Amino acid sequence: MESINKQSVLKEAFFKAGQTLKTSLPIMVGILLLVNLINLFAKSYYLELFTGNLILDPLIGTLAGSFSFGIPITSYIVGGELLKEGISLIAITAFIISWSTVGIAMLPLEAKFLGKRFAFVRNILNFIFAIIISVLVILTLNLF
Amino acid sequence: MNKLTNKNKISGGMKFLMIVLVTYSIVALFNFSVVKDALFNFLLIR
Repeated sequence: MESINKQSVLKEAFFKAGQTLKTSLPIMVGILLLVNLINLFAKSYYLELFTGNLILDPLIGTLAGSFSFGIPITSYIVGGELLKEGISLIAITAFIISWSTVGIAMLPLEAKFLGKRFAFVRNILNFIFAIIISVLVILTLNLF
Repeated sequence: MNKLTNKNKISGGMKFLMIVLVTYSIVALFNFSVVKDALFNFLLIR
């Protein structure tokens, strides 16, 4: 009797998960397509965005990272390339942090699943803390 | 009747995907190589 009940619960859960996937799949594909298109245009401006200013760099880095969104591995590659070009480490740190934590392009998706209020608060807090953490990382690196 | 209308309704996600695809088509009209690169990145990375 209990096994039949468990089976029906499992069936229902599987069906519900399938329904959620069906709803979210077009949004996910759409956002990933959009991110790839924006990234191609934004890529050429990355070098112009980072000027070397110690105050403005983390802010610009966080802004650039917020708009461009992708898997963390990509941000390491972009960060490494930017470092080779002579951009300050503080900007790259802020860029890497905000790349994976702040997602302006992903905001509609996040708001749909977790609520508008949560999405806005989380993104704003991550934006502020990305700047603070990047400054702290550089200060810590300079200590040792 | 209500069931029929709900079945035929296009979801918000599908509308968003359609808007993205229309954007891709418009960009392709001006610069096809950009769209080709974007699609290649999309298939390669994701």
